[in-house]
Amino acid sequence: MQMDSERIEAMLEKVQKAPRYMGGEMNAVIKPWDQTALHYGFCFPDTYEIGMSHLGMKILYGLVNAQPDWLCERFFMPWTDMIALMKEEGIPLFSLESRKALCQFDMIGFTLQYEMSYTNILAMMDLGGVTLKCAERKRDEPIVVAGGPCAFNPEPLADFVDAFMIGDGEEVTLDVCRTIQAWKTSGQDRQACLKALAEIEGVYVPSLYDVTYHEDGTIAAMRPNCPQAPEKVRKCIVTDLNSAYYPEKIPVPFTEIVHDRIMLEIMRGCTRGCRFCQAGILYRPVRERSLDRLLDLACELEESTGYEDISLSSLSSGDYTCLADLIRGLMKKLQDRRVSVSLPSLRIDSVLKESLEETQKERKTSLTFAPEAGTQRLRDVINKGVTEEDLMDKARDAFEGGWSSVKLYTMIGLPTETEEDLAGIADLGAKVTACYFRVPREKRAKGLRVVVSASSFVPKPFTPFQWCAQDTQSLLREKQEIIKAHIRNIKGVTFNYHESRTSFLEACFSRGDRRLGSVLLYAYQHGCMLDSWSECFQYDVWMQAFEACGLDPAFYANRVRGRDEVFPWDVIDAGVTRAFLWHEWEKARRAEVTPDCRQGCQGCGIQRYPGVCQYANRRRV
Amino acid sequence: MRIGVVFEKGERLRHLGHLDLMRTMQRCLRRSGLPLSYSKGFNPHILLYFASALSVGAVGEHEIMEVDLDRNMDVSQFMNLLSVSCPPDLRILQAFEIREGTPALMSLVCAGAWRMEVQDPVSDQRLCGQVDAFLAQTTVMAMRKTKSGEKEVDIRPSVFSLEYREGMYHMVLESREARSCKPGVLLEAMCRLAVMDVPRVRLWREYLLGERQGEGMERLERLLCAN
Repeated sequence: MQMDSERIEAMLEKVQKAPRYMGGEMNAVIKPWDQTALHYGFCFPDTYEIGMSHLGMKILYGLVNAQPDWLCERFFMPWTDMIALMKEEGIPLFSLESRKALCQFDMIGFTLQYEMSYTNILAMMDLGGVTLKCAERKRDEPIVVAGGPCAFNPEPLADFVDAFMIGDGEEVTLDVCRTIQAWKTSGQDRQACLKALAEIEGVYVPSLYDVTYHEDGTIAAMRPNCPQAPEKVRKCIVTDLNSAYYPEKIPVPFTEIVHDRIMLEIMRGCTRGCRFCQAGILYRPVRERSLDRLLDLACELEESTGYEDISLSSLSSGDYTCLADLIRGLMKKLQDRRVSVSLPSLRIDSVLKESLEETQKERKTSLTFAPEAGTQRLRDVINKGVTEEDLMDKARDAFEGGWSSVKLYTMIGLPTETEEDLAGIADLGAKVTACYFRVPREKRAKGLRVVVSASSFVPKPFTPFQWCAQDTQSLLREKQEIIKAHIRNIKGVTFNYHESRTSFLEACFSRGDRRLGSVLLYAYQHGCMLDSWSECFQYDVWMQAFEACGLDPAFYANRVRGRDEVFPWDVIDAGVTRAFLWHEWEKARRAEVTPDCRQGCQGCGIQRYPGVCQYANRRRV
Repeated sequence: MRIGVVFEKGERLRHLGHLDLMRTMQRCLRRSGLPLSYSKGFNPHILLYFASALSVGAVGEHEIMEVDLDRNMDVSQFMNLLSVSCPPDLRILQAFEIREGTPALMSLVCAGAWRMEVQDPVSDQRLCGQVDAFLAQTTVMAMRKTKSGEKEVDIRPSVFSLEYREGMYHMVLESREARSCKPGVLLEAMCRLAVMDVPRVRLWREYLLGERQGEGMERLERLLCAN
């Protein structure tokens, strides 16, 4: 299939935001198609602005292209106007680099960041001329792979994705590429390729497993149906981040994207053990990049991109061992070049006053705190080791330091939540406001703005709450109203909350099984896509899809699961054991906290991987 | 030191708007490692001035901008450093020193030379027959978008020349803050005369023209170089 560049240009004249589809950015990698042995189409199942903000994509794009013999090109989900035009013109989804159709690639890889992007995967394959169902794909069609956090429960996508890569992608991606390259010229059938892939550690091939169900709809067993498929697939762990690949050049978009800056991943993993947090478990153990490596990378990236902003990325940047040194070092190296440094996802108990003062030299934006819950009891349940005192101290520091805009992130629908906890959320807003007014007028910045936002809790696989029911939508809405009523009387505080219907679907898919493949297909075929965009989200169609497939969404979202129920994701070994998670769930119900790993090994299970966790088996000090 | 730069906004970047182009150029400059001057104030930005904004959809063959540096340097070295820092479709064609005291580029620009292609042959046929009729008019009223809204203006004096040659419309259109005529406005006016729908077109701005008091129009880069 030869893509007609003239016709693409003609389409671009008619669409909104044409730079999304233009390609040709600085540092985009153009390689000769005919002289590369493996063609990898990297797909981000959302729009360009979202996908280009994603660090993982930049790492893997750089990594594959760093291999002289391979080529990696980018695909994003087009917006609805572009999709309509492409269908009208008969132009398939094309790569940004050489404008080749998706179906011309040897392998295509999707990154799974959130469940609400799943219909986009089907839409992109469909537009790109790739057969949706694995079982129906022909020999010369691409091998479809996927990775990312949602791959830890791959089952809802089992019908559509040939193989999943579980865990850190830096090493397993290369193994998978090598295997596919070898198979490409071997003349063997697809099945042979899938079996070879299943033998790679960290790769899960759903078609090589059979699932049986109990009468009540729960899973009876999930077993491999061939010798190549392991009983359990162990996640991949990059042991040393310093030697791990990290791009020194990243494509710089022409148009503004969501996170339009350099992202410096300072560490991976988190030792805190918040019980609602899936990432905190999936990315264990904690691994840090060294100060020197980070300073070098920051300079390289700044020089190769021209970005004026750099942000430190990790689950809990405040926990980085030499954070203050790092920030000081970055300031020193980059000050002349007028680069500003920002720290996202600050945990309120770890913000160093000193580093706050250093970052503000450049720019003052809004500060975000995540107390997550309104009372100490509930914060203990979720093991968010933050006290009200911590929060108030940090808020005061921030106000004294010249900030006047604060965001408070919380969740509703957490296990054991009561009305008191909800009132507590409003109360936090009030106390932060009071804190601002206690700072003398001449010392504080004008224009106080406190935003309290409440998202609806979604229980996730591989967390202590994986057994929990999600609150029903009506209950969640009731809870939103309660907080709203409490906050109405507090001056200077605004309340934001998320649409509970999206959270409900997320809950279905995050802990769903492979039967949901039919729901996904139905929803897509009846017009669902871009579901994370409220203007495109069609809840009613989703409900129709469940009904048409004879499945009850409440079975997935609102059901309490038994201690020994077989979960669809049991086939994956995420490092942390089920026994540990259950133990944590029991402690949660008693509102009992678990200390940070740095205060002594809690025996989560990651210690079974030798040499990867610096805190493994370490005694309490 | 003030440096004038002639660059090309290539075919692939035709859909890039002015703000995106400015942001891109700022990043190219930052990548280059040149001794850039920054504005004072709370959010310092690079001292970079475009002679004239180019609209979305148009290719710019000889666009002009000014970059201010903290110290003097050789212009060919400047050009090399900037060239390697730009993406393939943003080509640096020429760099030269702008003498101190030269007015701001924007105030020197008086017109742009354009090339326009009508995509479909039927519309093209009808439209090219209107060129002479258009030129024969002494006034042609059209809506001009300004900051304060739309107002009706006579565009005829702003059309310095208009010619149909080898399937292309070649035109020189006035481009000043006080008075201007964009190719799209001219196209609409011609279509109104011809009683036809506005067809899809491709646009190239070939170069910019400047004017010094009392002297005629000249290509802006020449005018700046000679200064």
